[in-house]
Parts: sequence; C-alpha cells; structure tokens
Amino acid sequence: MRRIILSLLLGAPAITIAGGFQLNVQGLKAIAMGGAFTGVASDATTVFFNPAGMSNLHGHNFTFGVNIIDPHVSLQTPETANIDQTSGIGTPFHFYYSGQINEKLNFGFLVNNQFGSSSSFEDNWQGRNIIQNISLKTFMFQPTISYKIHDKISVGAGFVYALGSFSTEKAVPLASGTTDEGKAHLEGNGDGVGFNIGVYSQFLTLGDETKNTKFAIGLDYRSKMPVDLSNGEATFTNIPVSLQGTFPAKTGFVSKITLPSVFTVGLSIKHTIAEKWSLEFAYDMNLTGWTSYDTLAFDFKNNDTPDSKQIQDWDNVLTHRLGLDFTYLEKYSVRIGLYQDNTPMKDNLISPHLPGVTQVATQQG
Amino acid sequence: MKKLNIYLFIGVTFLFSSCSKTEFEEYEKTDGTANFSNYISVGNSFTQGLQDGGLHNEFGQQDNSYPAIIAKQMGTSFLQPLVSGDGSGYFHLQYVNGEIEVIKAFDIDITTNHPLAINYDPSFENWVSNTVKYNNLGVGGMNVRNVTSVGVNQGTDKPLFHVLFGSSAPGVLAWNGVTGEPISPFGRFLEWGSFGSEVEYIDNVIASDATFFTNWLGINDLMSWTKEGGDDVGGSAVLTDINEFRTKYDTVLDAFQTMGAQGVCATVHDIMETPYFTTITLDVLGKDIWIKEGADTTVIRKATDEDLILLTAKDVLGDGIGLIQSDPLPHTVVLDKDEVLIAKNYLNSINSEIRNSAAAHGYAIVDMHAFMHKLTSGLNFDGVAYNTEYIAGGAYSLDGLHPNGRGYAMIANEFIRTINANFESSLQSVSIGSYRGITFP
Repeated sequence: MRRIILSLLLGAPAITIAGGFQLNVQGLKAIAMGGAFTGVASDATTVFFNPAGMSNLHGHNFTFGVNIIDPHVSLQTPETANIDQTSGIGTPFHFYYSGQINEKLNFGFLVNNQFGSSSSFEDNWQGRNIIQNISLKTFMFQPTISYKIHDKISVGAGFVYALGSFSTEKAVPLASGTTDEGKAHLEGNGDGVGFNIGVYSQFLTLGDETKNTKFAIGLDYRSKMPVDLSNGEATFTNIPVSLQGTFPAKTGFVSKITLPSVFTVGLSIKHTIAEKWSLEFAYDMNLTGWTSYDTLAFDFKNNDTPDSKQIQDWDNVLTHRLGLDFTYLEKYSVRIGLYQDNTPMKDNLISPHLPGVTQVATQQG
Repeated sequence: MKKLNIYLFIGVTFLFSSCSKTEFEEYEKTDGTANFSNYISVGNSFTQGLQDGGLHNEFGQQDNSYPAIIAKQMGTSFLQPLVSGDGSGYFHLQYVNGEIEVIKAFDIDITTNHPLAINYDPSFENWVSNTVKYNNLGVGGMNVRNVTSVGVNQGTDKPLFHVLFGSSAPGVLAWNGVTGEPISPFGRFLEWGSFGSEVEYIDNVIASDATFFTNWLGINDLMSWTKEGGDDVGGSAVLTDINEFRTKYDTVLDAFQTMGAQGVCATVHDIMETPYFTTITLDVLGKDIWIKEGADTTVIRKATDEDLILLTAKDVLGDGIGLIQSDPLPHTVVLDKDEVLIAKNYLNSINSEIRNSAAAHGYAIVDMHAFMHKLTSGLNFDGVAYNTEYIAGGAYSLDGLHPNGRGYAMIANEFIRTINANFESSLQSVSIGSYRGITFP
C-alpha cells in the first residue's frame, strides 16, 4: 500500500518565532495540532517527538516536509514608533523515517532543523550596537531505535548529532573624523552531540474493535546540546586607525551556544468508530531548558579585543499544547491546535536578537 | 510473506504570518499645558554646548546643545549663537607613535603648546551679532552671581561687571571696555551696553520675553572654584556667597515669572564625580604623591585617596613634579580633602537654594544632580554602556568636565522627561546613539 498525502496548512500564525529560537515546525499533523504529539505517535514524526512511539508504527514510514516561514516583526522604542525587522524567508525542513525490524524493534532516523533564527534590521537602526543581523542554523541527525518491552509499553532512544552555524553583525560605537561607527561581523560553526529518549504507553483501551477509546501517554526528553564554535572568525571594519590594534581587520573567536533541553509529557485520547470517524484529543506540556542559554560570550583571539559577553539569563519555559483531530472515513481530517508559548526572556532583558513575545496561537489544518 | 508497508507523507507548509504583524501608532507630539513658542535657555557653558574645552561646531557640537535638542523635540524655532571654523579652539585626539594623545587647545599664555594644538578661529573675536535675539542664552563661565553685578562687592568682578567670565578667554581677546564687550568672547552675543549705561545679563533675560524656559545656572558657582583646585586667592573663581546665590537665582526666576513664562530649573550635579576629578588617582599612579594643600598654607603632605588630583596635573606629573616632598604638586591641580568637603557642602547648599527658589516661584525641578550621579555608576542606552570614565566612558568630552554629544543628549532627555511630567506634554525623547561621542583619530 502506498499513500501519498499532500496537504496544505492554512491560517497558521508565526509559530516558529514563538519563544526563543526553537523551530516548532516538525511535521504537518503535529503543527496542525498545536505541536501536541508526544502522546499521539501516529506517523514518523514521532522519531522526533517521542522515539518510543515508533513501536506504534508498522512497515516503513517516511515523512518529509519543508516549511516556508516569512516572519514580519516590528519593534517599538520610546524614540522610534515602528522599526521593521527584515528577516529573510526561512525554510526549515524535516525528514523522518521509521522502519519496523521485527515485532519488538524499530529503527528510525531523522534530519531536521530544530533550532534556528534569523533577523536583520536596517544597519543604522536604534539598536544597531546590540544587533544588526543575526542568523543561527542547526541541522540535527538522529539515528534511533525503539523497543517494545510489553504490549502496552515501549521505549526509544536516539543519538543526536548537531551541526550549527552562526553569524552576527553589530555596529561598534567608535567614530573618527570621517566615520560614524565601526562594524563587527562574526561568524562560526561547530557541532555537538546529545540524545533523545522517550517512553510511550497505550495504557488503556476501552470498547471493542468497532467502537473504542484509547488512552496513551508519552514522555520524552531531548537533551541540551552544547555547540562549540571553536574556529569563529571576526572582522572589524570602519574602525578609527588608532583603535585598529584593539579591533583588527581580522581575528578569531571562540564561543559556545547551548541548545536547550526539552522535556515533554504528552497525553492522547482517541475515540474511534471503525470505518466511520475518529476523534483524537492530544495534550503536551513542554519544559524547555532555556536557562542553558545564560550568556552569549565571544572570546577573541586578539588579546587587545575586549571579550564580549551578553547576559541572556533566560528562564525555563513551560508550554502547553492542545490538539484535536477529527478524521472522517480515514481520509479526511480536520485538525485544530492551540498552544501557549511563553517567552524565556526576563522583562528587563528583552533584546531584539530574537523574538520574545508570549504567544497564544491557534492553528487549523 | 511479509507485506511491505510504505507510508509517505509529504507536507508542504506555507506559514505566512503577515497578519500577525503589529503596526504601532506613530508618536504624536503634544504640548499639553505648555507654550513652547518662545523657548529660552539660561545657563553656563553646559547650556551653550561647550565640549572638549571649547565652543566648536565641526560635527554639530553646538547645533546639538541640550537646549537645541529639547527645542527640536518641542518643534519650536531656536536660534543659537554659533561659532565658525575652529571656534574658540578645543581639545582633540591625535594618534602619535602608536598612542592616543589628548592635545589641549592652544593657549596664548603659555609657550609649551603642542604643535598640533588647535587655536581659536580669527572669527571668534567677532563671532556673533549682539543685536540678534537668540534663544540660547547660555554663556560659558556664567555664574549666578553674574546675572546682576553693578554695585555688588564681588572681588575683581566689581565694579567692572563686564569682567564676567573668568580666565577662559584667549589672551588677545582681553578686556575691551571701550566697546562694551565682556572680557570673555563667550558672552559677546549678548547686549552689554557701554560704560555708564551698562546692560546686565538679567536685562537680556528680561528682553527675551520667553514663553518657556530651562534654567541650569549654578554649575559655575561650584565648578570654577573646584576645577582650579579650590584656589580663591586670585578671586576670579570664588564660591559664590550663598545668600547672594539665592538672591540672584530669585532674580532670574522673578524675571521669568513677571513675563509669565513657564519653565523648569535644574539642580547642579556633583562636578567632583566627573573624569576631570576622578581620572588621576593614587591607584592609577601607583606611587606616593606629594601635594601642597592650598594657596594660603605651607602644608606639604602625601596625598591620600580623599584628595582629588585634577586632570590638569597630568603634564606636571609627567615632568616629575609631585614625586618628592621638596617638589610637591601645586595646590591648583589638587582639590584636597578639606576642599572636597567644602565643595560637597556647598553643592548641597546651592541645590537646596535652587529647590527652594523654584518651589517659591512654582517652577518644577529637573534633578540633574540625581541623574548625573546615575551616570557615575553607569547607564546603558541601546546596548552601549556609558559611565564617567575618561574618554572610554563615552559620555564626557575630552576636557573631562563637559559632556560630549551623547552626554548632552542624555541631559536633554532628562529635561524632556521632567517637562512631560509637569506639563502633560508628550515631547519625544531622543536616541542617544544618534549623537556623536568621542572622535578618535
């Protein structure tokens, strides 16, 4: 049996720019259900959401998706009414595969962008000394296995290899007789490792073959991943001659970005009337460990260049996600999702690097 | 036989979110209960827009004096006396042999000027017309005691009220009583009359017919004494008598009250927290320093941390003076600890007189003393940190006493904040980074 489902999701708000720089666009059904998927595990996206859920899947399952994100953000300061943030169109993609090796064992693999952010402002905007442009891209590769230890309980684990690249630009507040301000351009890339483990249990089934209600619970923990930018390169331009020893045309830097851990508890209840319709309710609660993103520090190789340290001091964030799926004749589905994603930024540390606005959003698919 | 199941899901998702973008309302300036149609500023060099030890305008330093910034936010026209060329001469930085060097303004009275020192522009002798009515009445060197001067005993100021403005004038521009010009060119844009029919500063204030004013007088009454190491023997830089201070401060506010002007008065900041007083410390020097306590004493002793060694001591320290007991630092480059105490007490006194006088006239206070103290511990605007460190602190100009363009912008915002709070107006604050800080070579 081969099924190709081409779907279009409409009316989704800019979910990817919710809290921090996490990209919550991992699979269509999951997006439509507000990202509540840890306890659902009905397609290959579970490799990401909950590796243990692979035990639910039979045969070979592939999911591939590209999301086009075109965020528009405007900022306001006491001095400027509207500052448009010109961010490029982002195209995070995901590929998930889950294959059944035998009755108990599944093997899976994923490639996706779990974290990423890009924003840029007019070069001469008010906050140019904080940021002019910033871009973070990550690629995750995760070989995964799941094992059905009991009819009702399965476990899964994946090893995550992450590649990250980072670049940023900001104005350096140094003027000369002929220049108003210098510019710093920093870029680097690096890699890191982590893991993704989960438990999935369809612990209760009420009813019979033709009419039943299934209860499932999932737990998933994706570890934090420190990505070392050990070979960063900084270039300084438009620096007054007398300070070019401090801000040389070119120098190296070392930095580290810690991608946060995500712990999720998910619950799903699915009521099915065979060959007619099904209604599934899902709820996820994520705890994202943004405190790992405590500082953004750049240690320059040139000794005279003052090392830069930006205290982020973000809070861990609890996110609630609710999803509802109504499927008719196993063909037509209507889904609705609702989530509340709080910003990890403390009020007094709101920075224009990344969007930081608490979001309550709905999605319909 | 095993059945092969392949499920393939291809999702193409378009997430267009233009609907979620917020368009903020543009700010609208409102005057509230204030009438900004004829805004007049009074004060000293700070108000005139002096920085780097001089009046200059090559990067808009005078154009962006704090009252000019306020006026722009008020949307009212504001005429300032502007210098041309190199103005009065000023400090600048040079990059010499891999070091950044502070080059002082050319001084006609000394023979040791740096070859690159910037002299005053020839036009500075006659840089303005005194028949034009300006909005910015700030005059470099202006003390409260100078607002009226005829018939008052004030040392060498009497009876030649024209000799208002201390020792900051270039030598060739010395006293020219015949044409009725003050000894200092900083005030020549005002009408001073002539011998026998003198016109006072207060007369210029009265003639301004202001609808709104800002008053930041009082700085010089403290600063001119402290920046000379508390030397009052010459008499040109005394701490203004406190009763005289109050009387003449009242005179200024009486004048504004009589013309029906609204306005605000600013307190005097602690000048001893500026880089001029805090840059050269025993900690930085790392050795014992000998100082002479005052002009009228013979006390020579080791400096302590409570004595403030002035920025002007740099050159003599470079010559080896102050390192041995028999060759102490002259009293004019040290504000010793007793003088610091006198100055601090004096500062408190004039600030309470300013508060009382303003309250008595129904004018609000801009607490510059509190604001500038915040700068001492450090302020951050749009990702740039500012403090009172010399040059690196980003807010003070090269003379260490006067703010630079960014410092003046902060001051303008503080005035604006108080004006808005008292007149239900909504003048917009300015972005500090839009103004020029230090110009590096």
